[in-house]
Amino acid sequence: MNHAVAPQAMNSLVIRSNNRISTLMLTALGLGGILLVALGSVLIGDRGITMDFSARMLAPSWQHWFGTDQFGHDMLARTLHGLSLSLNVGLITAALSTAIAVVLAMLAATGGRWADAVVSFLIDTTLGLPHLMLLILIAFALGGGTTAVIIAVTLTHWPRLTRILRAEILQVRSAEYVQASRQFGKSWWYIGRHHLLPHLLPQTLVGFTLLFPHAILHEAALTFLGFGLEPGKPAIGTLLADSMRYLMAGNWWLGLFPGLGLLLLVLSFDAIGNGTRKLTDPRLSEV
Amino acid sequence: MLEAKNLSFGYPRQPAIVDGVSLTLRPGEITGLTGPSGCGKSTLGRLLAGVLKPQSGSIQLAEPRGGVNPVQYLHQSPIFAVNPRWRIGRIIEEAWAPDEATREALGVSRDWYNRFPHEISGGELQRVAILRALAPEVRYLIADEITAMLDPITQADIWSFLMQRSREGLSILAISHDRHLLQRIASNEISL
Repeated sequence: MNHAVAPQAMNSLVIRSNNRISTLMLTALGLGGILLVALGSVLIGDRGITMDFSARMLAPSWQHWFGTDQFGHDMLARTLHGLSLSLNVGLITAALSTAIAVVLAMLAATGGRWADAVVSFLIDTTLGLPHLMLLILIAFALGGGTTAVIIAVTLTHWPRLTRILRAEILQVRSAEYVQASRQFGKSWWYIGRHHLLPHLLPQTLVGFTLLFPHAILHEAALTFLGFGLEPGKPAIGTLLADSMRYLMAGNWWLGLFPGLGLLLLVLSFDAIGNGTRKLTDPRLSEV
Repeated sequence: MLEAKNLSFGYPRQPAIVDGVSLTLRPGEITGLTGPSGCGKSTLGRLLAGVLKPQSGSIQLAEPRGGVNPVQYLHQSPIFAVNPRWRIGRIIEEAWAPDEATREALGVSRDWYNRFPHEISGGELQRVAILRALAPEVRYLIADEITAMLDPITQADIWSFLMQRSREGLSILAISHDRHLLQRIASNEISL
């Protein structure tokens, strides 16, 4: 009988401890990856920017982990520079988009029927247009460059979060526990502070974190297509566009490593976003 | 005493759901309210509690409404009436800090205080919701099918506690489909 009971008990114990800890580990890993990129690009300084014609087109080796390009740039250094550039653009655009989303969601949920109709119309219009098309249009109209990319990505990434936050505010405001709170004589200020904010803050934080990878990917896509950052800057999009010319000649490392770096950066943000969501929800965090 | 006269309420573009209802709730009485589904029992309960405003008619209340409302409304499903992100202790103390005697009489355990609402059972949560609604200022309790989803033992427990409170002066409007329950607890009955 002992044999029959013991494995089951152990099993449930493993599952219990696993979920929360593994989420935390994954989140920490994602955060570590992002810090590594941010710190790494500062530490390597000029490497990857200055040319070295004695080391052109070298395959990956112990000296150059990611190989070198046609100007003798070290690709590891260049990838780090590119990722850190993406990180900056992503941070600015995600913050701006989130700010737009919060303001519009508040307006829609508390500003009455007309404000709600206008905001919903704006959301539907922006979501209805093809994403990349709108991005190219705005970036092109603004003449390209870093500022144009930031504005284009910001203006196209707010609708989804706005929609989520608007629904969340409406739902909590009409919830029965808010009605109950009113019955206990609590003010709207108290309800906003203690009932609404604890619901909105994690949503906003997660929305902000999950906007990052979108913004980064779209920045890279715009740059790859030639509507984005200036060609001289070592952005991931530029690196990938440049690598296209040499891939046919067998220089695979020019495309593989920057692409892989971008993928890992995006996955890092995803891990942080999902981790935050799981750890701040009492129902999910204790599963 | 709570006196409602000629209360009417309707939702937009629909016939009035509560149409000219008058009733009186007196201290120390349990009034039963029954009627078919959709006839406006809960709406009437919400009007009396001040959650909804009547379109015509008047509600006269001896006690002032500022602060904790002397008329408290209790839901059938307590899970919706509590914030899912708050722990039980904080949920109860949003309204008042209950004395030990009331807490124990309702069978609310101190052990629950650190848990989230989804971590205790429906019956336990309903006890929590009742405890929360019994602040000292409260004179009237609108109990809207509060025991409909509970097992018979919990149901008997809760109602014997509420009948004790009623004998001490609390006025209760018991909304229910269960005629047998109302026959046992109510001193007078209204049919909508």
